Amino acid sequence: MPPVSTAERDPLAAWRVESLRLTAFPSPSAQIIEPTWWHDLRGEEPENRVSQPRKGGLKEQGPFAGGSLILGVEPTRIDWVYTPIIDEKQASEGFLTIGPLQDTIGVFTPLMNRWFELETCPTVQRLAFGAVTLQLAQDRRSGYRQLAQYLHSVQIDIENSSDFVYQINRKRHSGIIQGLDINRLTRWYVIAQQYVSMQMVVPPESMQMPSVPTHGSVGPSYHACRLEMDINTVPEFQGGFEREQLTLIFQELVDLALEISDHGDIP
Amino acid sequence: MTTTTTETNPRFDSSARTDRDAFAHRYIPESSSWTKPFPPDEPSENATGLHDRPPELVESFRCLLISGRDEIFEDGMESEFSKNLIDLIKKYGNDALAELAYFIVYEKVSAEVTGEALRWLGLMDHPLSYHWRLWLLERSLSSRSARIRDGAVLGLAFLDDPDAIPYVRQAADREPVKELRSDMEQVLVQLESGLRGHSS
Repeated sequence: MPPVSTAERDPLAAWRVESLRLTAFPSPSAQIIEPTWWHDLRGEEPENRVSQPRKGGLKEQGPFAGGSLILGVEPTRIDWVYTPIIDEKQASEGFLTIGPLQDTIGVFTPLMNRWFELETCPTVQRLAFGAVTLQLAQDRRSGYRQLAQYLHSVQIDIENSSDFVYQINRKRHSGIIQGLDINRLTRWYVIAQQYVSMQMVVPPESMQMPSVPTHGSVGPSYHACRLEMDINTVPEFQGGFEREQLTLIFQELVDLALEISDHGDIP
Repeated sequence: MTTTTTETNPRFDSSARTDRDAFAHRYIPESSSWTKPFPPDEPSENATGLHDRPPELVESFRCLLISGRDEIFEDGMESEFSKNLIDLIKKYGNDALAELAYFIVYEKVSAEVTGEALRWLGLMDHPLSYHWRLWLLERSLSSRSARIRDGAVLGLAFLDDPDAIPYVRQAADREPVKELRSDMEQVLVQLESGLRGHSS
């Protein structure tokens, strides 16, 4: 591993969270019938519940810790996703995020641990922790400079290149279960966001005419380094985890994500 | 009326989206050099992110499973149904398996068609979808239909993976149909002999 000066990287708190996700893949023997998990964890009914009979699925959503908590259930997977609430004003002033990485993990992880402890939590044979995080940048070049501090195996030509995307999977052995491997998939790049506002004239329905834009304004553009992490146990692991192992394994996945956010792309 | 829009570009769309509206605002890339749609992510068993399944997949499966009802299946013989099933799985990978899981887990198709599908899940050669095929076969051992359980155990015999042993053993222990239980026990012997061969 090349020597890395931590002084050049921003602190961990510079990573703002766009979304956190826990995905549990149930064992073949798991029977999931009308789960009430959202209510069980939050102690109230979700704001929205969408039954998806075509997918054999269910989606529930409601407020959680300044953001939105979404539960998605399908025959082959269960997803808990923590995202920002869509806020037009905040979106027009930059990127929509829930908060600093450590803070958001600090509220999401205990909630997921409570789910693992529920009697109705199914047997799980594969577990994943996903996080999408942003680190603000002044412009593309600054973004590349920031990324370069995390990508030790890559030489980015900051002045003469664009459209850079770096994706890698660096497997590790689990420290919790012998023989279990963990995928550490990451994708790094710089994004830009620009808010475009338009005034539309909407003709009466009887005229059967399309809406016409009459005035538009373009807001400033914002840049950020974006890091997508998908830390998950390998699909080859069969048989299902013991209930007591779930909390430990999930914490291991979260810790690996924190390590990547802090130290960058390391073996 | 004022409407606010943001430009979109599919190449940097979040893989963690949960539905089309969850992230009404999307990101544009840091420059717009591409003149063609960004190539989709390479299918990978290592990735677990959420994504929308191709919309045509639902209809393709519905048509396949409906047309399968009119076919007469012969043991081990290819059929229009089996060829189309394999094509769909090879084309759409694990998205196809997730779609098929709905029909099989919730028993939305005739037991005969499901049984045939399960046999071919075991027979076909497609490493990328291997784990979901194994999952679906193991899951189908607990079906209420004996015909589906029969298809599942045959599929597992073709797959010949010792990882299925605990599921086949449990299924054999609770199997009420004598002949099927005997088949399951035979498959158990086959899988266990593979395990011994592997460890020696």
